[in-house]
Amino acid sequence: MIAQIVTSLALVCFASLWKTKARYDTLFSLLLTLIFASAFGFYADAWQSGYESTYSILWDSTRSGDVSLSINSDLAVYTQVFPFFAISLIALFNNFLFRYETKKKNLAVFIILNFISLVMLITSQNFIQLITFVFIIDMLSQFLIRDINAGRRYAMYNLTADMGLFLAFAVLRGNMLNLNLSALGESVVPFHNFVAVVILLSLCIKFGFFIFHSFLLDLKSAKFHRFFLVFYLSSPMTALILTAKLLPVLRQFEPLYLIINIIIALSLIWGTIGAILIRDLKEKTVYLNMMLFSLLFKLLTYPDFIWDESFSCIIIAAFMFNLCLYYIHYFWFRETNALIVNKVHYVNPLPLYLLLAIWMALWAVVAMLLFAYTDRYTAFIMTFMVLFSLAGAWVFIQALQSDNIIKSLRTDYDHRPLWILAAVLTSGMGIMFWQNLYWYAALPALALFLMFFILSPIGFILNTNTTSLKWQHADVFKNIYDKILARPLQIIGKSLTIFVDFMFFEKTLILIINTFSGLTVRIFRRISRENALRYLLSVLITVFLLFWFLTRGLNG
Amino acid sequence: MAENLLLMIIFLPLFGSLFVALSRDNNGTGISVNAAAVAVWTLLFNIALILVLFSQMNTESDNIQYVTTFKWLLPQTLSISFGVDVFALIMILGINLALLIGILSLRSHFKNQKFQIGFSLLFLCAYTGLFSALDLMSFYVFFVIMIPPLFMQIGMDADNRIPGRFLLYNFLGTFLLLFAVVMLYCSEPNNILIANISDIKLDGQSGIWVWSCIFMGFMFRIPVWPFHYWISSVNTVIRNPLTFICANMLPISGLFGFLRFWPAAIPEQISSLTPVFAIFCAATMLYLAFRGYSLNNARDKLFSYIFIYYLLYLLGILAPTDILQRNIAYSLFAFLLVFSGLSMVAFHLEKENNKSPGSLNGILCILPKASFAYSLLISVAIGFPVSALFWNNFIIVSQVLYTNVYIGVTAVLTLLLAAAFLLQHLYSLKDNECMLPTKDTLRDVDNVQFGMCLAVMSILFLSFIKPLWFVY
Repeated sequence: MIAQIVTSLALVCFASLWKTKARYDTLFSLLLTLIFASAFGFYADAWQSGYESTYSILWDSTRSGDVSLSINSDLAVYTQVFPFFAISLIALFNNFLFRYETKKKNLAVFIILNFISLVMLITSQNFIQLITFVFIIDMLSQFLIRDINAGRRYAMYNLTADMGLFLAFAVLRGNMLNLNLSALGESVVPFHNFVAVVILLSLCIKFGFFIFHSFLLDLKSAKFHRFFLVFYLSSPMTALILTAKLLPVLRQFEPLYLIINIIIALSLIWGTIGAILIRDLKEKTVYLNMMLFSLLFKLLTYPDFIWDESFSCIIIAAFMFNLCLYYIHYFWFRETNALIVNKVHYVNPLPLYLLLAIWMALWAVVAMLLFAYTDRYTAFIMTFMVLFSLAGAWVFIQALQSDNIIKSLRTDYDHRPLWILAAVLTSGMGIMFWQNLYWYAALPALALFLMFFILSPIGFILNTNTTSLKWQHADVFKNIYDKILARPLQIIGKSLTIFVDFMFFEKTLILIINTFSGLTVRIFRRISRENALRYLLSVLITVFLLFWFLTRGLNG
Repeated sequence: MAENLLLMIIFLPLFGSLFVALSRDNNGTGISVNAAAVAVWTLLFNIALILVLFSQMNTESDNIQYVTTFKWLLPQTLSISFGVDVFALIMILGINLALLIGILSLRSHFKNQKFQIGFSLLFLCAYTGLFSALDLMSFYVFFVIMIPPLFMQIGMDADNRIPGRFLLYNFLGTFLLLFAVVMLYCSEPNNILIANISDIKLDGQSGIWVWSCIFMGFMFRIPVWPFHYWISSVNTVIRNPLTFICANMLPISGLFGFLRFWPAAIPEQISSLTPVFAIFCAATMLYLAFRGYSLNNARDKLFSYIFIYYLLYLLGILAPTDILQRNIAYSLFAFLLVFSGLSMVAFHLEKENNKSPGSLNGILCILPKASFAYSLLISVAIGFPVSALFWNNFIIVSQVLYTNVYIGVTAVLTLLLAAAFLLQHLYSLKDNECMLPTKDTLRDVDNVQFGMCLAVMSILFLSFIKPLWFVY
């Protein structure tokens, strides 16, 4: 069923790439959204009825092995595809309703193509398909971003990560002489430590974890509704799927859990600090997502991990937090044309209070899901809940309690997009209560959030120097990257060019050869031109040497 | 019939070049519409013949097909043998297409068009002969006679002592190969097929000399350190895209030589040095990657990129297995098209930028067609999965890693660096903050060149789906 859905959607997308008049843009985006929604219906139906099938197309056959494209439909695939289907559908509706997007149809097409690539990634059973769609998703993300400055470092970082994966897969393929991913779990793979380190490094870059996150900060120059799509339909989600696929290799690396814990701890702490201190809402979103990705990565690497419905719902919930932040941006900052959270004037606080309520409900849902997934609150989850409650509450504190804000009850805002959020959340909560999920698990989460929101324990930060402009614009890791990697590489390159090409070859070797050949020519000319006897003698010596080389020289 | 087709494919460019020589120059301006038209039609016809030959070929087999043998005029014991396998024929197709791109990109470079085109067709004829040669003597003859036309092209384009250096380096290589050929014919006076070289009995010392000379002969064509300098110095003085493309195709003859001769019957003393040679290749790749990363000139970057890939293919050829031949062929074919297309646009940008000298940064913001073409070609060049380059390189790299993990890792690092500097270059060309108002008068690539870029992209994309998509 998934194969049919993917094929139909791909055909629709390629047909939609045909250029159409601007006035039909909204209509086409609606049509695409409706087609996608109906595809979602078919998918949900197939999932419920437990329909299973396997499609495999032989892409190419070489002496190095067959390369095939596989799309299989089974329970695990349905579950893994679910969050991305849901997120893409929400993104499509959002795109249709968002009045400021000028290329609605194109964005809709790229969202669907991106979704198809994610499905191909999930269903891949060999290295070639896996690495191909990792690269394709990175290419498509440039169309989602649609901003040269925002996409520049994103492309460089992801290229590095992709080449890391390329290297790891090439090592595995070369040593196992097998392209199938299923071979990974069978025995200890060759160079497993090296491969695991490379994969782990690539995943950290793609997730945008601590010290690798600065490319995500660059995305702030893209439009917000495109900006947060990159987090949940592109690079970090690719990393999530890859983690699930490559766990058998990662687990062969002994200090894996220690390294993962360190990475996650640092990302959580840095994410919290960033989300609190940085005033730019888009940068705040990056830091909040860093925290959410830490959670997802940690859950995924639990020893008894299973990607079930709860985990899929946590991904959707994480996306919904972004949707809330987007609406804050949309309702709040659109009106005032400001981007800094606590520098806003004359706003209508009503939508913000509504968003606060929605955020809290969402937070309760996440708490229930986490409890459903883990059956207990581990130390990590409790830490995450404290830090994320603090960071989440802080967004609203900054927006609502700042002295700079003058509230006014404006009513001319477009409230339609809010309905998407409310509808999705209501249905999500309905399903959870209907299934009798652990509702009591939501209580501590809500209590924490309310405590941080009302008591505002870090309120003093609002008026301290940390909010100064210089601090806000400092990009520490960009500077480190420049000083440790980019500059030295340039210096090495330039030095090599000067010393090897110019000094050694041009000014030494070639000069010596020129001088030597000139000298030889001059000597022989002087020997032979004085009189005929000398000329004859030099010819005879040459003939003798030639004869000697041809007869004895080589064997002697 | 098919054998005659192969001969036609080899010698058609020769007739084309004669027609070009007879065509009239347009009022001494350097523009030669007739010459370009003759060359384009010759190449198109040749490409059609290659496709016909492909359609009659057994593409499943790796054996040489369409073998034709003639007697040489003077030494009656020797004969000329021609024939092709899939690797050779796909290379011939790639070179024809690359030259077509080169000739079309010459439209805006007016200096000595007629002679450039004529010599490039001669070069093509020699190159096709080299790929089709099955016996040692023919191989050597074509290996040598491809140099003079290229020397003339470079000589007409550059006005300093670089062409002399080019000739000197290449003739050193060919003399070494000549020595090896003579030694082999001394041991076996009859006809020697390249495939049968392993049957020739050479005593220990002679074997080492012969194989060392063969090795060095091919080495002179490939820019492995310390032989890289001659070709880098040539590249800096070339001013038109056709010569640039031809000069940068020359190393394929060295690669092809290694592929045909190596590792047939190398004495152990030589073959044991293969890892050392592979280390030299990897070190040169690293050196070129650093060089490309640090230099700002588009052509320097392109040059570094091209030779990094050639060295990767060489590492693939040196791997102790022959299962990579097809992968190298498919990848090299795509690579030829990519670097020719990139050269076409890069030279156009360089030429336009000369109208208002300064940095090229931001130039693509006002040239939409060039921007589109260049972005697509760069995305292929850096290894995105839109051409056969992508997963065939994956197979090659995996084999290199299997042979020696350190060399393999170095190779991947250099590929990453090459991709990074190309991407960085693309972003700087598209940087709208650097756009200068004086650049408004610049001219975009014309429709023919843009169409060619789109055609190249289509071929590349189809080759990604199925490498031999044109075989029916």
